[in-house]
Amino acid sequence: MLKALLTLIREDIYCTPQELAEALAVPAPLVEQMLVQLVDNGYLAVPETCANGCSSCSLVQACGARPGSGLRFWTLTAKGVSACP
Amino acid sequence: MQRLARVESEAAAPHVGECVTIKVALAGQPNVGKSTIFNGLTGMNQHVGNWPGKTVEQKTGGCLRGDKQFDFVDLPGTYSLTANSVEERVARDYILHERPDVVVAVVDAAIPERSLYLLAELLLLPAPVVLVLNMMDVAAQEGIQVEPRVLEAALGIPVVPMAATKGRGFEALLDAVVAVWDEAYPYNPHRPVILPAHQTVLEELITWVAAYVPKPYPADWVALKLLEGDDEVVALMQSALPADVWTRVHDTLLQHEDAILDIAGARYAWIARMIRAAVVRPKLGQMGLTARLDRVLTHPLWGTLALLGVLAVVFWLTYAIGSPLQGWLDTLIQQGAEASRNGLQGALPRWMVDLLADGLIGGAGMVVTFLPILVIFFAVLGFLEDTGYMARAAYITDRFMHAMGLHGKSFLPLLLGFGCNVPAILGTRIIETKRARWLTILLAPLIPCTARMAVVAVLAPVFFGRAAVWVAWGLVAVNLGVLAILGIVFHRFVLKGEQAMFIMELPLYHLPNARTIGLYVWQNVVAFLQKAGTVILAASVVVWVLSYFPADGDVTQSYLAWIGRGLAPIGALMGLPWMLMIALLTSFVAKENTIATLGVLYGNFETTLPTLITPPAALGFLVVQMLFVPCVATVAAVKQETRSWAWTLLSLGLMLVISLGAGILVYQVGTLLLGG
Repeated sequence: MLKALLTLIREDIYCTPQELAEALAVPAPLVEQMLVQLVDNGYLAVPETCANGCSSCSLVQACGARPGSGLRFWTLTAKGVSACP
Repeated sequence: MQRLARVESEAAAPHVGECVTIKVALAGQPNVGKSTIFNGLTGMNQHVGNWPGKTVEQKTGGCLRGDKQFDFVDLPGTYSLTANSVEERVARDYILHERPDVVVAVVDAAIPERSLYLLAELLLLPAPVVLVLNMMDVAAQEGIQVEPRVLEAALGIPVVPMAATKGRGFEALLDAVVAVWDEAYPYNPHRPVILPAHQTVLEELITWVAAYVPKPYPADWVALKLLEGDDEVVALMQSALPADVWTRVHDTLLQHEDAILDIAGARYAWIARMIRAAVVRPKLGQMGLTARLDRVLTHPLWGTLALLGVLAVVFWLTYAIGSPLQGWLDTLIQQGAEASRNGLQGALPRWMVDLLADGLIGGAGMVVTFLPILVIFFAVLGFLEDTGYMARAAYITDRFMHAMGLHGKSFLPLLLGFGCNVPAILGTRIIETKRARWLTILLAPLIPCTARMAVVAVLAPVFFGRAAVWVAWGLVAVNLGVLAILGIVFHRFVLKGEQAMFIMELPLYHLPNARTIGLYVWQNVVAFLQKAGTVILAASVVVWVLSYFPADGDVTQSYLAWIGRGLAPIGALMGLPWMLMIALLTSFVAKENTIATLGVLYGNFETTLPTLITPPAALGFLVVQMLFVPCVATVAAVKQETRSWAWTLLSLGLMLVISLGAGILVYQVGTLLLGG
């Protein structure tokens, strides 16, 4: 099932854990748990949402991607790409 | 159930006189009510300390029931037993080394799928497991039906429904523990199986390592953990195995590096089967507010239309409320300028009076009059941010960027660009590949930052009155359209095949907090005023000096006119007088300088400008303004991040050509259609 999830992410059609859950016909919390496991094993990465420049940016509070804004992201790593069937 | 003091010695004989001792370990994730169950079972008969050699808290306690004494150990809350954390190591080491008579796995009945991975791992350890479905009352409130008997049949282990906070299920739990302990229960766990391809490898590994596995580890468990790549078990066996056997094992593990995907994947498939069999979730009609709203707001078509509608409302509110206030402030500033001119006439040299009235008050002061527009603009954006909508806007925008392969890690910096292009450029550091990073740097200045939007917010109503909302909306669309076209071109011809897939989680919608929005507006307004008092003020003075000298106030004979006439041929292609070209030029220092420069050169430009240029020229000017070369801070960031003058100049040249080309196109086509 983890390979199926990686393949779905690789297909690049689904954007949220909810959509992936629907595609796999499993509950969303299970997909979230799988995402955590894939991160732990290096197949996905959680990118830093703010770079160095953000600390001095006057608009940091306005930024939708700042830490703590509620947005969580996962990206496929090179290991994740190569593990896809 | 009578509670007893803790039996100090864990190694004590299982039978104490007439009393039989049953050692029970409580396992489970954090926040599943494990501590409530432990407290309910042991009451005051608890001992709290630390696990030997660890800073992790250890809780033990006991209770007496008939002739049976239960010794409980509350294991640390863990999500799995993969040795990723000290808690996970403590939990699995306890089961492996202390061998409890029964392990009780506590699961949140409202989200059982979250805890079943831990159960899958517990079933591999040498201790029988009883599953507790805790929080059955919460699950019922959420409309989730969990069938304990079905789950029990599917798992082959006892399943006990509980509502620990309401004191329900404790007796049934102890009954189940005793039934497993005295083997009255037909314990036959249905464990997840691994794929046949890896089963062969697993059996080979068991054969190779069995003779060397240190006690008390089971050989099959050790072999499976080796195949999963468990660091602790790998280190254990590296030191336990003879060199030649280790080499063989190590080579095999390298060949099956991704076996974890199949092993863990099989566990998730097993969980999915269990959940499908035993859990019924609410139907669509019972969905939460967030899910119902997202059906529309993240839909490819309706979501995009909603985003465009939201954008239109943002501009409409900004103009409808902000513009009248701006007009009122503008009158005050004009009156202030005239009053200072009249008051200081004669007291100071004429050039100083003009500098104060036209350069400082007419330039930087003019920019400050747009404060109401910005306050409303930021307040509406803050409202959308705080309700959770902005994440949906990002999600919809990602679909738009999909075509050019610029989602994933490139998407985040571009998202930052809507605030300010400088952190957007710096934010590209998260992109690993140089080409993708440089492309993102090239495209980031095309994201309309708040400064560009502020200029449009001011100038669109000057030229287009009530139609300003649609003009501003269209200008944003033009920028994103140009970004998409450039992205597609570069993606197809420069960055072929490079793509970074990504998944994002959308937060729940919630009621906005007035204080949060107020803080958001305040921080942005302060930043704007700081800019107005420094960069814009200085630029206003420079522009004024260049426009005043050497002809003592005759702007047509000034240094600025000399520069402007150099730009006049390009301006003529767009129907723009040289003063507007100068306004564009000064925006290189800071985007808001366009307004300040127009204030210095035209005074009350709101009434003057519409009479000087045609609507196609005005639209062309706004298009150029939105696509023009970024401010000097952004250019410096591009140079700093690429360490390449060539790429920096390419970025500048590209923006210049695109902006002027688009402006000329808009003016020429507009003139053709509407007349001059």
